[in-house]
Amino acid sequence: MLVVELWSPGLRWNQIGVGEVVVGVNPLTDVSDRAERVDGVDSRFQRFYEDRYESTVRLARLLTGDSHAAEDIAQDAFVKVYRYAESSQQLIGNPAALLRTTTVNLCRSWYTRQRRAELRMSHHGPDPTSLTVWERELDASLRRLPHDQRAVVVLRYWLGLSESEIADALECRPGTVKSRHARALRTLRKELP
Amino acid sequence: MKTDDLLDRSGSFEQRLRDGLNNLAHADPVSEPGRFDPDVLRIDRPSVSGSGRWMVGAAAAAVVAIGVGGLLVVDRDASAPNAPADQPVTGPDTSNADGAAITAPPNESDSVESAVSMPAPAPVAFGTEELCDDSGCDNFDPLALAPGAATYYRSDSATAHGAEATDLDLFTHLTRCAELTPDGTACARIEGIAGVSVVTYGGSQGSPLVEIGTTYATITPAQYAANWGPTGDGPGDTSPVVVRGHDGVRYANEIRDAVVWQEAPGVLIWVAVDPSLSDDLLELAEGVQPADPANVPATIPHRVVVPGLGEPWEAEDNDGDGVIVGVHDGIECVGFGYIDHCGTELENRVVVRTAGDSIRVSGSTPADVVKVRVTTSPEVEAVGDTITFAPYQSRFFSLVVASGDSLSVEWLNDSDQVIDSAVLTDLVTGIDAGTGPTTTVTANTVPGSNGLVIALVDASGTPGTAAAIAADLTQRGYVVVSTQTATQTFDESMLMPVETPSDGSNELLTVLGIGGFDTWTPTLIETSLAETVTDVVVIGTGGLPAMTPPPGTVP
Repeated sequence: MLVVELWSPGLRWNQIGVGEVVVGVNPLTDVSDRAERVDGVDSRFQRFYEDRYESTVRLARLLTGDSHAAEDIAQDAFVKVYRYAESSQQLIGNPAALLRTTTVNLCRSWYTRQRRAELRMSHHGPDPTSLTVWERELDASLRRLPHDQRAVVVLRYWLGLSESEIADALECRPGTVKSRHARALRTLRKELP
Repeated sequence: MKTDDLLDRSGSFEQRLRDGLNNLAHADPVSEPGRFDPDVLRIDRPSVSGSGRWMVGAAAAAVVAIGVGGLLVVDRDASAPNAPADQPVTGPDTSNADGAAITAPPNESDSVESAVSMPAPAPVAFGTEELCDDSGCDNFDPLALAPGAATYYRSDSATAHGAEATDLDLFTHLTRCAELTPDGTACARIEGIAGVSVVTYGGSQGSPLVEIGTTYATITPAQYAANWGPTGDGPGDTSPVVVRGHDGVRYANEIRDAVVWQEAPGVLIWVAVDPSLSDDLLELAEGVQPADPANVPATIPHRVVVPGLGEPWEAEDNDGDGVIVGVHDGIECVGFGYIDHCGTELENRVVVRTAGDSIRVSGSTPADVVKVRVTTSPEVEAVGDTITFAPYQSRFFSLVVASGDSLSVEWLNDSDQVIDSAVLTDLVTGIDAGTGPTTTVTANTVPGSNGLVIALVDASGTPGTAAAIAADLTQRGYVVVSTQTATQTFDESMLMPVETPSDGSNELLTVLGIGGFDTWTPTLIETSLAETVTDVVVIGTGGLPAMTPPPGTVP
């Protein structure tokens, strides 16, 4: 059977993009003997994992404000993407975008749980000596933003995504991104000297 | 001139934001990824980390409420009615949202006490309030909309450019009720949805985009065009037009062509199109029509602004700083600018925000409270009347007072008797106080201040300059209630009395070494001044040589 999918052996996972249609097998949906497997994991996914792990942790750290939770969330995001690919017959056109959206959603879930917990907790942030005063204030201000506004800020100013890419990642309309962006920036401008 | 015209909004701040986020993201080391293990799924474990980075607050007879604005610890005055001894003390809720147990790391008890500055540890009653904010909260009770209150506009002819898409979520997230019907059962007028279109056509697969926005605001089309012009830095090129018999403004919205007009009192309509449709813009605008009432939202989240207690809603950013009342599960929620918390206890109804050296204390009170007194030190207090806002049983207040050593609040009845009181300590975070209209402040004096309440505006561009000047003025007995950064730099320092210069203002001229007065210009700062301010000192790049030299300069 000819399978049309978005993968070629010479292409790194994080270089796969929509429209790069090649003939072959899907490294996540097809346990192919062509793919080297180490400890049961496709070696190409392992490379994707290694290439993307750090940036995913840092994205989660900005979205949660918690570096420990960020590592867990990043792990979970990879697991979810992997399992999604294993269980789905759908081809993953843009695994980097899927990973990003999964990470954002996991951070949202984490945030929702934390909001209850915050009723009875105070939070110790990152090592203050590693940050300037302004950055510590930025960190605190980000924590106070609603999750969706914080996500827009991080995706826009850290990842440099466009409005439509952010809308895809957050699964909302570009207009909603625009309004969240406006509200978040307005809050940050007022809070940060 | 608007503040926006003076401020480089897009360049420096956004670059600092990028740099700051990058440094934040790299503030902590990331471990090596190692081998990927798909069998390890960690997200279902308890959300409270066992790493000891979180701690449980515990204090006797204290209520801790944390909202978007920060952490507020309330220590009730034991002498007041409803003192802690009369209160049922609830054990700590030790379950998180997932039902997992929360335990405080045993070695953190000391830091808990220092963090909340409370007496002997004991179980904490956290109340039952749900935290909501005005952007992401779906938990407000619905508030019915009066007929016509949320009419939005669309266009049959625009469908020629693509399928119609409507974003009614905007009514949930970007509106608030500004006026209730006389019987209080519905919202008669809403505010919100600026800069974001409710209806769009096309815009995908290379087709040009047509946006039709309905903005609920009591501003002019010209003001709207200025706020939502090409860069936010000003109106850009505009031209007057007439649309549907109304005066309007044609302007550029980013790279797109747009027109805005007032269709009805408090209702602006704007149409923006891609450049390829510029020739069709006015025809498209003429063709807009009200949406079918059956498709108009019937409710919005129950979030109402109390008129007169804060700055009005701003079309510029879909927000406003005022006392906000929400209703969640029938319980009143209150906030300033956004909902802080919900509850029936007095403490749950107080909102405290700091801005510089001022504190704003706002909130709602029971119906029998006609005054609220806020004291921050033996010499500084503010007393304000509460106001009614139908149909709420509650009354509402908002006071600005200079910061002091402490913060206590007293609730008074119409006989000036103290009904209840509380000492509010440890304002861990205070933000976004706003400085709009408040109830009358009847006392705010400090001996030796010459009757002046000073705000410093740092236009020197040198960090730390204002702090040094503030310290110097304070040492000389002046009250400095705030320090803010100017929207632009100036060479010379200036003294700007807010109203007629007083004798104290003249004395201050000498102290500062400034030759004369300048007229106070509100656009020098992004926010408003606290209403108690009498004189503004603008610090230029040359500093105030008669006083503390700016940091880094050689005397």
